[in-house]
Amino acid sequence: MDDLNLRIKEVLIRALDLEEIIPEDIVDDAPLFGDGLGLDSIDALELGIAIKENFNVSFATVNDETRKHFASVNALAAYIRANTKE
Amino acid sequence: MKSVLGKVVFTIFSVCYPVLIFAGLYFKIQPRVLSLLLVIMAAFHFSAFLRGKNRKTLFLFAGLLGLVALVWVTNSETTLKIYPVLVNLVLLGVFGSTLFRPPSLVFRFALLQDKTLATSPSVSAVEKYCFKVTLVWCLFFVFNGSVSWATVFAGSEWIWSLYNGLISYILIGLLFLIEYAVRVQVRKKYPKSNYTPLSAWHRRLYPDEKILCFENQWEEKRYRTWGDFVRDTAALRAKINSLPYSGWILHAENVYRFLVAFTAVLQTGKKLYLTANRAPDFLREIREAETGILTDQEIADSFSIPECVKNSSGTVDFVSVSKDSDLFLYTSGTTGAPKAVHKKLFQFEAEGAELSFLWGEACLSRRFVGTVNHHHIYGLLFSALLPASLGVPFRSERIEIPESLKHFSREPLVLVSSPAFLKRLAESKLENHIFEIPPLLFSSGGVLPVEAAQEAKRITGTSPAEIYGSTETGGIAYRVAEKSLAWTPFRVNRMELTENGCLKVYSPYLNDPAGFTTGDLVEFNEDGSFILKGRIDSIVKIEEKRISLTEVESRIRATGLVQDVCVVALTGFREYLGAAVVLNRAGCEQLGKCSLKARNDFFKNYLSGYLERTVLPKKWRYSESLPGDTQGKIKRKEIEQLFVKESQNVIVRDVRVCEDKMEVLLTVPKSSDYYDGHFNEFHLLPAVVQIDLAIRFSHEYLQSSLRFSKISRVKFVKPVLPDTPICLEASYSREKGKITFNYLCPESRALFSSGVIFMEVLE
Repeated sequence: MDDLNLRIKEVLIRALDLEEIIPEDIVDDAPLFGDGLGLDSIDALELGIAIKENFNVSFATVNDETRKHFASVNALAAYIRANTKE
Repeated sequence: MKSVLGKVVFTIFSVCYPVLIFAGLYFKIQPRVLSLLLVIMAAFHFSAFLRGKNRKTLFLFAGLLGLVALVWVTNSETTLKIYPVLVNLVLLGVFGSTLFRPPSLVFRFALLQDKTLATSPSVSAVEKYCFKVTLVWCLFFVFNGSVSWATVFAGSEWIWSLYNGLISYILIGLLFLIEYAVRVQVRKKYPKSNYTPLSAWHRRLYPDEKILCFENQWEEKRYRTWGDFVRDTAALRAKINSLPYSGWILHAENVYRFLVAFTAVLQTGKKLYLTANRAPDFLREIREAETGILTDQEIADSFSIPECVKNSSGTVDFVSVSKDSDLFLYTSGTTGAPKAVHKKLFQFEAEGAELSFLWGEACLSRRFVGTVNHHHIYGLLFSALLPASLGVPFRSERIEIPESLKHFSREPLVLVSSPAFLKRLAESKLENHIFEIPPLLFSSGGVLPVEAAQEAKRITGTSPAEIYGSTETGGIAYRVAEKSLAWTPFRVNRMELTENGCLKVYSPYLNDPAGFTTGDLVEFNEDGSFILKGRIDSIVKIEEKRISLTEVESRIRATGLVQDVCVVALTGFREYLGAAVVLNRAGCEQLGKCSLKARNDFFKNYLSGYLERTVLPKKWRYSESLPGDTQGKIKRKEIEQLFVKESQNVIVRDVRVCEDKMEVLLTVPKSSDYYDGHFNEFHLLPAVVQIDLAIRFSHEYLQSSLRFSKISRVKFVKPVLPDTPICLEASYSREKGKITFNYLCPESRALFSSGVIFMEVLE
């Protein structure tokens, strides 16, 4: 499993206090919100903060563009990679 | 005497007024002089005001003086003739105002005339009828006043005095006669009931040999008669009167002794406190100075009812009870703290009247048997006051075990029961139709599950009539779930919806005319019936979204897989809901072997069809039963603990899981319950906690079985102090059910403890 993806999943589980879910339960390209993990808009805000803290990347205000980055673990990983200074 | 004479003179005078004026004008007396007649009448009103200080008569006085002044200024006979019109206007005002501020005037008269009316079963029908009569009188005054006005300007004094001095009086008399005839007809339709409220009981209410109650089985012929009752109350009353107490706490398990003491205390005019709870600490808490305790049980520093009535002799009379007697009942309240509710006797009597209107006739040929405590409002009304007031025998002991109903299979019963009893009856596996004559079946105290109502019907042959109410309000509405789930209000109650959707009740059962706002959310149907939708305190806001916890609970119930459920609002990093669930048999079959995640997913998927994401319960707990008290009320605070404890007792900093291995980085804070009672001076993380955490986290992250088998090896090397970061390293061998764990220092990897635990392997 991709190391970054795994870390994102762990941050996700911890930040949102997801019970009974382990990283393996989260499919890389499955939607995080709505049907997939069943997260809601409040969770999105929390997740944004957690990603910012853990990966040192920031999101502009929440708009449709940012929402795309939250679509799945893969999308988040791609965003983090593109925005992390080496 | 003086005032009666004054009234008579005044009446004759005002009735003759048109004739006197007519004669005066006929003899060409100046209107100014004739207005002296008005002055005399004004004087009557003024003296009435001085005697009674009634402000209304002062208005009449002022009005008449105004009219006199007008006559003096104009010196016109027209003004003199306006007096009858004014009288009609005043009467219209007096009658009409009561239409908007009930009770209507005619009903007030009726109440004055018939003291028993207020507690009669037909009181509300009478009230409606009186309203109509008041309305008719108002219309009559409009008509009569108009005609009178027309005669003022007809130009002929003769026509004026003929109408106002004769015809108008004949019309009034006719209206009286017609109304009387109608009333006689209407009265025939009212049900006849032999309900006699306690305040109307007297020595000869029943013949002495009339059976009031029976012990155990009717055939055993261990009866208490009205004669016994009169004698025992007299004896107890004498005892009470000989003691200095101003109030009495009453706790009597036996309904007969209860009723004797209840009546005797009220006869003496002392305050009465009814308590089902006789725990010494509770009694100490509620007992005020100068309050005695009456009981048939073993209570310290109390008076025994059987002892007090044992040597009853002497005069045997019956003292009447005031319907304004003060009573106090105790409720557990929603917070669990006991709360005294002040009631007046007439509130119970009004309710008893309504009950006997609805069910009195059906009760007459039966016998009352109670399964509920008669120290609470429902039991007090249904299994003590109502039967005694109807003259229907009651059983003096409660039935507690549903199976014992078998012994009553040949008796025609009124069964006063509760959801708690009927639920146990449903589980009792009694055969179908155990009664030869199906009983009249009541249930109150909580909502009866529909399945329990169906089972009750299968076993007893009767669908239970449920009563919805509270200690504060008395009965509000009733229903038979088999016919309709909607509640029908008792006729005498008026219902209203408050702004936030709660039910507000105005009722003669209430001491307060301003009504009582319940905490129950309702929805009204067009026919005035209503549906209960949960408690207002069940409404919570989750991240700005309003949701009723009751609604989420009933959605979860609708899966058909749960036996019990309780949803609570929680706050962690955000606001969310947690659901504590007890699976039923079908639920265990379908979900019992699933992982917790699969169970949660099942419920979440199901609910996502009905609820918004934000209010979907995020955390789930499954257990064998929910914490609750003996009355079946679930303790929400304890359920909240199911969710909160975990995070307070253990702080999980990181979890890494790889196939069958895991690493959990955690600390157990000093505030944790885990240290309680374990070396109070020096906190150490107990060994049992370490083992328990290893099992719990293995279950959570490695899906190990939760059924413990044995500990094969365990070693504690170094104590774990509060707030120390520790790393739980564990692996799970699925085939063997073997958990191997180590607690390590995260940095130095120094060992705190290690061990091997075997869990039962599920097929």
